[in-house]
Amino acid sequence: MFTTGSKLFLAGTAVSALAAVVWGITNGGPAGWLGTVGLISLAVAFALLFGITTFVRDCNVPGSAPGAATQSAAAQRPAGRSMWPAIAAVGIGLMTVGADTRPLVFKVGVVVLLAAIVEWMVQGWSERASSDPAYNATVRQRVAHPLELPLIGAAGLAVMIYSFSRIMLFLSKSNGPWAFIMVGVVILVFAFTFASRPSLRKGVIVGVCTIGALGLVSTGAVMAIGGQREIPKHPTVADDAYAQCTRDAATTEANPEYAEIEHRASQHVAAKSDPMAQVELRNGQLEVYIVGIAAPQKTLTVARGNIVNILFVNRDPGKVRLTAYAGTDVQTVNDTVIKRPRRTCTTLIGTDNEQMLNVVFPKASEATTADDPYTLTVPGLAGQQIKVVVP
Amino acid sequence: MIHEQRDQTVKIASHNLFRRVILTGGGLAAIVMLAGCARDAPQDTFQPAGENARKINNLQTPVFIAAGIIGVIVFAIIGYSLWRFRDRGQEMPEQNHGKTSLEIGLTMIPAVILLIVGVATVSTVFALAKTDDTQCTINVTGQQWWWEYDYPAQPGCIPGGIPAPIVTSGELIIPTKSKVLLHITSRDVIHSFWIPRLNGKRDAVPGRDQTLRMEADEPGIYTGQCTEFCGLSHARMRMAAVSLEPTDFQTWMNNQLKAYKSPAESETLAKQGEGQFISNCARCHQVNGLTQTDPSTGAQTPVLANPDLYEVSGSAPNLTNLMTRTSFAGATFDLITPECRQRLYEAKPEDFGKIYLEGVTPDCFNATELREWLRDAPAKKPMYSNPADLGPTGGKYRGMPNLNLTESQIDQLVAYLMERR
Repeated sequence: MFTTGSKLFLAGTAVSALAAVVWGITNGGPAGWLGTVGLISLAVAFALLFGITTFVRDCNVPGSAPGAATQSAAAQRPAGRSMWPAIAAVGIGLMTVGADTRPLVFKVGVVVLLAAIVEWMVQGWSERASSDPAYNATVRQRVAHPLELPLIGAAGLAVMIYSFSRIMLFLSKSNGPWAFIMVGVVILVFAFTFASRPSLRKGVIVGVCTIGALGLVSTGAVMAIGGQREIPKHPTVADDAYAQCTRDAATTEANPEYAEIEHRASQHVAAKSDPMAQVELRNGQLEVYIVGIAAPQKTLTVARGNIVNILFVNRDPGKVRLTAYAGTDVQTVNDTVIKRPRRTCTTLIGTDNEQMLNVVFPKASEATTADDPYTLTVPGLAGQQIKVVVP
Repeated sequence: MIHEQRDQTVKIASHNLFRRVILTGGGLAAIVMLAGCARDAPQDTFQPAGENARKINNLQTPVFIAAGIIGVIVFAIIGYSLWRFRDRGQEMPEQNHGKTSLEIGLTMIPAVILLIVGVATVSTVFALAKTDDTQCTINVTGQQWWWEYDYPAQPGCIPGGIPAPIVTSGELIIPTKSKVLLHITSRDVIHSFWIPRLNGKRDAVPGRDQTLRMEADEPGIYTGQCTEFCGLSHARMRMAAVSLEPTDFQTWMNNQLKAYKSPAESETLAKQGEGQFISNCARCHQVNGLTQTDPSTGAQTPVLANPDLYEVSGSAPNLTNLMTRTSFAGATFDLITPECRQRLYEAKPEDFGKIYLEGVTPDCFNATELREWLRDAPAKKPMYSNPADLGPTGGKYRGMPNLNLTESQIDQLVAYLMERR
């Protein structure tokens, strides 16, 4: 009753349907229903193919038909040797190793196994499609190339990008641009040469491109082994999760004062490119550098009610923070007036580290008194402050 | 015969239409071109009035000339080719790939031109980005729809420096022949600062501090315009840079820093205006030194503006020395009469400082503009300040609302503001 081909698709239908049930029961949420829908779709597709192959009897040629002896499937040569079983074995091996080591290896194994199975099936089918090997090769390409070429292209591109990234991460910030300018010039020269000599043999062009690609990948591999250059790590709140703006590094007691830590300060890359001022602690002196004013200052003038980006750099030993005092916040809660100092600070940062401080001074300096000005200070460092003036 | 006559008629009609289109188009193009030739255009980048604008002009002029010549040549060749080789039923000429030497030549010539332009452009960009020769630093903050200028206390600007911070708006005062560095930012949306005769544009971006050089050769007023669409009254967000000789700048600075003087009790209207200001304006507008009596203690306490509670931008112009400026509301409306404005614009460089520093004198005061503004500001300059429409901003205004002042309140406020100088 069942033909050889239809048995395969029937089994596929049964396995997919069973997998859909198991997946649906064991997985909840979007992944659960999405996977179930996908597997049911697969089962429906297999069922359709099962029906077609059953109906057309695998397209087998009846024994009474003219030329049956030469055109029937049984008369064709059996499928030839194939590398795909070996590749499938590699996939299974990766899955086995990955199951015990890293999930990524397991996933790669699954991909390799699936690819090998699909390719093997396509090869087996195409080599028995007709008695003409040239036609068989054509139908194989027609089926396989739309899948193979984009995937191979994407994989090749991924390898190139990964190799590029390893090279960029290995080279220093100053050498990187020069290296890639040289690479760009070399590519331009070769491209110009190829374009200006249309008669150049195809093999030469393919050879040069292959050597270039292999050079890129091997250089990337070598530099990946060499590791990344040292990338400065900017301290974040994770280094000092319970900081308070009035506490120095040595103080550990809880502080009841209102304090606001700039949690994402080290991530403000754009702001870092053009801070309004740079405050430096060097040799126990706290000074502010403003673009356009040559000498370091002890006073910083900022606009009222606007975000001010200040880059704090610690050149002294030990961990310190910069604290901005922006007056007193007065609130009335249940007829009770609550006054709290309005402070913002960086986290504690070590020697030669820097941290961004984003602060707003909402009121003009008119709101302050001579003995209580807006300031930038380093807790624990006596006698040093930057006076902030808000016109 | 009839067909031939009809074809002839159609041909003549087509020819006449073509002529009309050419004449009309050419006439319009000539008018547009001539409109760019005004000698007294106050915002003309081709009339630089300072070192930085001159650097830009020195770059753009040859580039425009080269681009114009190349454009004419290209269009002429295209036109000639279209006309000379138009389809007249001739045989298709021999098709070939091209001439390698010609192609290389036509690639190299533009490449060389672009290389020259590129080198000149990059060197100009670097020259315009220099900051180490700065002599004076000013903070510029944009908000909907006006500019604030803060002068930090600093050793520069003029001999002796600026001893205490100054805040003003609308008119950027700079010392003549001084290399000024502007620190530009914004309080709300992106704006763009541009005084065409003094330098190129620089975007004012919230949270970022961008610098722009500014230098004027001679005393005078150099006008500009916000060039980044920033909302309803973008077109009314104007600006002016006022260049003063160092001695005049010193006078201006001293004037800005002098202590607040409350109207005398004898000046009834102005004194009442001070009260009106505290009641109606001081929530947002700061007048440095203004005090009021604390009812609980009887002591004099400073009147502090809290624009952060009422304005989206968190700011409103500081009015301490309003009448030392010649315009208000984003340099859009005149505080001086058209005659006095003309006199200021036409003043010789050596006389300009003296005339500008006179400020808004009673003779020059443009009371109409200010009274209209106080009567109903949003009617004069569109702003999002209708109390019924402030839901999206949490009850905060963008610009000045209509305060529903009476005519007598306006009289009192005008009298008070006239003394802010």
